Amino acid sequence: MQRERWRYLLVRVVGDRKVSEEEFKIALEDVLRCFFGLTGLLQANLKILRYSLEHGEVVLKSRAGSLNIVRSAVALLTQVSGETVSAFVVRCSGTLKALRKAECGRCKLHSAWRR
Amino acid sequence: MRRFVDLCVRPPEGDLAVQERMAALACEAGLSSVGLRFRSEAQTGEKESAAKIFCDAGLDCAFGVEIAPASRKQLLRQVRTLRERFDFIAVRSSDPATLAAASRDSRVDLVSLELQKSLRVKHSILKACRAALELELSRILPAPAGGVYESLRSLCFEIEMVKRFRTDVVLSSGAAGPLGLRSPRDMAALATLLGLPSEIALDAISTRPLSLIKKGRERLTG
Repeated sequence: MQRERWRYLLVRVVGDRKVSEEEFKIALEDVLRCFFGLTGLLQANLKILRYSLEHGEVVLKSRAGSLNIVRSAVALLTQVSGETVSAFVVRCSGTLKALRKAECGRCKLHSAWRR
Repeated sequence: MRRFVDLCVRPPEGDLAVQERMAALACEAGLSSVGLRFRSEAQTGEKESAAKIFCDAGLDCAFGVEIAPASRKQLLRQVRTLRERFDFIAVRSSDPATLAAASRDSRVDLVSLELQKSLRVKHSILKACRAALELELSRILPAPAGGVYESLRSLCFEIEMVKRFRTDVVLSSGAAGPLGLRSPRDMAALATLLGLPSEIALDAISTRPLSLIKKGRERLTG
């Protein structure tokens, strides 16, 4: 059996107020369900690994084959709990270690990693 | 390594704090150049102050103008006066004949079909289009008022026509504020899901707008 391949994404969430992990998760899943249906949501198999409320940074894990779907959902995310937000993928990697290393290289090690 | 460009960033007039925030976010989103889009009446000082903010954030800036002529005569007059002041010219018009004329004019760099509702008109314009077609992400961002389905359908049709007629295409965010900015790779991923081949989608936000800026600058320097 072939091993499942994953992608780890560092997502930055920007808004006028800080958004909690639960609110973000619900909003992102709503966008996925609305634009790609339940099958899209299931295929992506999205998980939030880390969440930094302070810096508005999220580390997501998704299936490698659904990377475009997840990236699109992040781009289409405009509202979280009625608040206008913007989200974008800062970095994408095949392993958590590489994601962390790339971010350290840019001197942007935030508390999302320290949790 | 690819350099990404967003050709449609509309800095809010006079709001320097918001412009600074936009510049910082554009950098963080992975852009290396931005096309600052102004109205034709924009003052030189306004352009320069916005450019300074974006350049200070480490971005290369190009100046663009967006016109919405109501007739062919108006289009030609505006293009004649503005082409020497801006790096690129983008045209959007609700009049099909004007937009068709703009799409065939070599001085026009970008055309947007957002205001055209008829699929037949879009088809006929893209068939003979010499300028690049601009696809703005802001058109399909979910709004509380709804209407996303129609916009998506329209965008998918345009992408289908772009593939059929091999028209040049440019992807942009159409951001009028910091929260309108998106990562270029996210925009390319969305365009890929809507039917644009992935290489073309990535070129549409990197090499294609870069060559357009280069061409515009060469034209200005003579």
